[in-house]
Amino acid sequence: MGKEIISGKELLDNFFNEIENMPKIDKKIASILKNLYLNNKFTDRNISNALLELRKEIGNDQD
Amino acid sequence: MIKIKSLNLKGLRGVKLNFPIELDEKSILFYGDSGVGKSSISDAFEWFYYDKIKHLSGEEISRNGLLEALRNISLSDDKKSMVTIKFSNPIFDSDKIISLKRGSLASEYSNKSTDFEEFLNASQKENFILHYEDLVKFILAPKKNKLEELSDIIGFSEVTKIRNILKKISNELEREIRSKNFENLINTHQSNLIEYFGENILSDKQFINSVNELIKPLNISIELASFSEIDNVLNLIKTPDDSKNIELQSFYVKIHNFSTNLLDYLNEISKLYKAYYDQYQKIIGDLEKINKIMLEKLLSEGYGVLINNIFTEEKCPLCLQPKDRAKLLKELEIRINELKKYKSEKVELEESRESLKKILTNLYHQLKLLLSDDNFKSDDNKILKEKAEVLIKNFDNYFLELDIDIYKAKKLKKVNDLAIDVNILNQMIKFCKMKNEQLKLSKKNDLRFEAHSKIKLSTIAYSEIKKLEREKEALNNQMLSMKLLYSEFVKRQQERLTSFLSIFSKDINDLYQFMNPDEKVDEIEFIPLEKDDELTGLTIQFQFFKNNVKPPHKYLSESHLNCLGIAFFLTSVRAFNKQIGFLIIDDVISSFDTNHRIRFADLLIEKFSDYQIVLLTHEKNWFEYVNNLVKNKNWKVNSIKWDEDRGTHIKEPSKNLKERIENKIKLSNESGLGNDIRKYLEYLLKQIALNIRVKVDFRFNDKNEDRMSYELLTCLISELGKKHCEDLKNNHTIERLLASSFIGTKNSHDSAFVPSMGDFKAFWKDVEELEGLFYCTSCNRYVSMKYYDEVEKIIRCSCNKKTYKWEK
Repeated sequence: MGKEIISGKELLDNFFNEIENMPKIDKKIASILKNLYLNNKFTDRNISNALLELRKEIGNDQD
Repeated sequence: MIKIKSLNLKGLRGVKLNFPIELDEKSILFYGDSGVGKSSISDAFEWFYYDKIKHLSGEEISRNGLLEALRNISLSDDKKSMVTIKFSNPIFDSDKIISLKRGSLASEYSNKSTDFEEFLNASQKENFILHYEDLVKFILAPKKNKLEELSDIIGFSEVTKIRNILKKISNELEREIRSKNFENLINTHQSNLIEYFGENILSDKQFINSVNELIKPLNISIELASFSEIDNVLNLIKTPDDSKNIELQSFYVKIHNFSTNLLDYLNEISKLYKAYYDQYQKIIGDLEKINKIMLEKLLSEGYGVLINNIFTEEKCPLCLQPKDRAKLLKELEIRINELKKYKSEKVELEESRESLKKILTNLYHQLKLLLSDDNFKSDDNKILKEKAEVLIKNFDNYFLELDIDIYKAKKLKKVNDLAIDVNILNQMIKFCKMKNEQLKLSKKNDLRFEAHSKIKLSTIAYSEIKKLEREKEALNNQMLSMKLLYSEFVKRQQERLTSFLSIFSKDINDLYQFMNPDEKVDEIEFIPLEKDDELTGLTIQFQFFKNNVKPPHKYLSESHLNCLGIAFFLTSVRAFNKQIGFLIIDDVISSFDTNHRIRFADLLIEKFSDYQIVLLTHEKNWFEYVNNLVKNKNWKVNSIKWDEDRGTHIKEPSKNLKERIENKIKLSNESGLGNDIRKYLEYLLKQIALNIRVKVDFRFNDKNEDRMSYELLTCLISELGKKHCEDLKNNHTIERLLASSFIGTKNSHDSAFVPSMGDFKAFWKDVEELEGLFYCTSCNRYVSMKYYDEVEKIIRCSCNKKTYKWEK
């Protein structure tokens, strides 16, 4: 039975491996989340800060 | 998978001296009466692996209390208690020792290798000990706890953590969008544009057209082609006198817009504060909750200090007592986890506070920025400034309340005592409107000024709208992505959980059916429960007389519930144990009826032969049943005893008993010597009787074990007579033993006879001579009917050195 069960870690790895190709998902956001996960820095604070930076970048690009 | 080579307990729980068990990776069946200390074995394993023992934990037993409870009470301070486990892979062999260090008990492993540490950490995630009291714990647990426990076992707790973060970020973005109040702000600026241009401006093109319409009557030789050229147009039409007027108009528009926006927010602010106030008051109303939250904070801080290497010594950073750092971290993790539910209430409260604070801070900064405008310094605007400063105080009051530390348990001000004054806002709006009207009137009929001021102010408004729309779009885009990711994540998690539960349920059902064939229970299933797309719990459903029913304890007897508990445990073992290849099953069948006991034993032997099983029981009949079942299956069987000298110990093989007797004689130690020799004689006579087939009266199993030497000797003499064994039938040694004061009925052990050392020696000499008659030291075999010579009519040992005439 053990072999047939996907562990929590496998589920997470698969999800973050596929995240950049998921439809309707902003590629930059997907990339940010994937990197934070791979670097063991997937915390709400890190994500919030990264998203804020991304919004600033978009704002600066259009000014 | 790892199996056990040997186990030894020393000065631990009921064991005073040594409790050595050589297993050689084989399963073992232990029998022991209630109270002899069988659980010392399962306790030793539990402590070795998990560093705690469930039945020795709780409010009244601290960590040091656990070590005190583990250490045998009769041990002197200089002695160590320990459990030693040797494994199929020797790199994991280790002692775990309790010793007294600087006045307090401490424990440590002898194996300090990284391999061992990793092995121990991985093993802790596996479940391999089953006690009676844990049997139905999972089955009867609340639905939410079932989900949490199973999620933990299958490694879904990390998945849940990530899912919660995704959800939190989605919610944060949603709150951010709400707190920015984009729609209102954009509408306010649109109102300004309608006022300047007489229509809504929704695109650059519309803006350009409107500007061109305004400048047409001025007959200037320029036309606006793109929004970026707006400054050129403004520079062309402006006059030095206009600047101050337009600046003031812009100033009043900003104050007006801010006040209108704040007015729109007031209900939302009051609502959020009221919710925060209610949550806060609920927590501070429960003193125990506050204490637990404070404790959690302290422990988490301590954990942070250790994990971030702020404090690196092998000590407790608080009390500075010597402490194993790794062990301390593990203990902290466990305690923090236990306080999780209290923390989650505090986290919810903090989230409410942050939502409100975000809105207030945003508005506060806008107001502060407006107040830095030099136009506030003018006497004309003195009243406006005073009102703005009252608003600042209103905000400060909110912040003061929101910054109150919950640990101080101080009461908060009610929402009505904090509310921002609506009248002030209305007065500010009215004041700004009036001032703007005055400014416009002062330049009435000045077409150039009118065009200039309208274009300037509309440029500000339109730029603001564009900025707000960009910000709103970026936030919406992020929120949408996060929400999609969250729902995809939840979908995947639920799919995996459902597929796991279906396989898991099938296995449990199979094991349950094995123990309960042809009964009216079938199709046992674990069903996930959901609320608003969230998993909220698990329930166990099954078919009972062809109907789907739940929960099990509503329909099943105690024996059946126990079977379900066992099926759950064994299925978990198969599904999740990757490393530990053994099971400790401690006296679990007490409340099983006879049929279920038998089926459970059959299940273990038939379906779990790949595992090394340590099976402990105090049920004599079940022990006998399993004992028969495991014959020729390479199991070990042993009995556990207790006496005052040794505490819990394994029933000693006679060879060791012989060594002990010889040792006592050598040291002239009379203590217990008579009993030891009597026990050895009983053992010897049983061996002789078994080998030469001495007939004794039939008795049931336990009584059979209880036969005394007198009875066995009498039967032996009778058998020697019947078989015409002339060499032995009048043997003096046998006659002496029969007449010995040491031999008699069971009760005669308590007679008034007080033997001397000489008596003991003479008695032991006779026992040795008896052994010499029937036991051959050349081939190490007893004279036995197995080697009976039909031709010569002799009975002999295996090597033929010891022979006697024997008629069949």
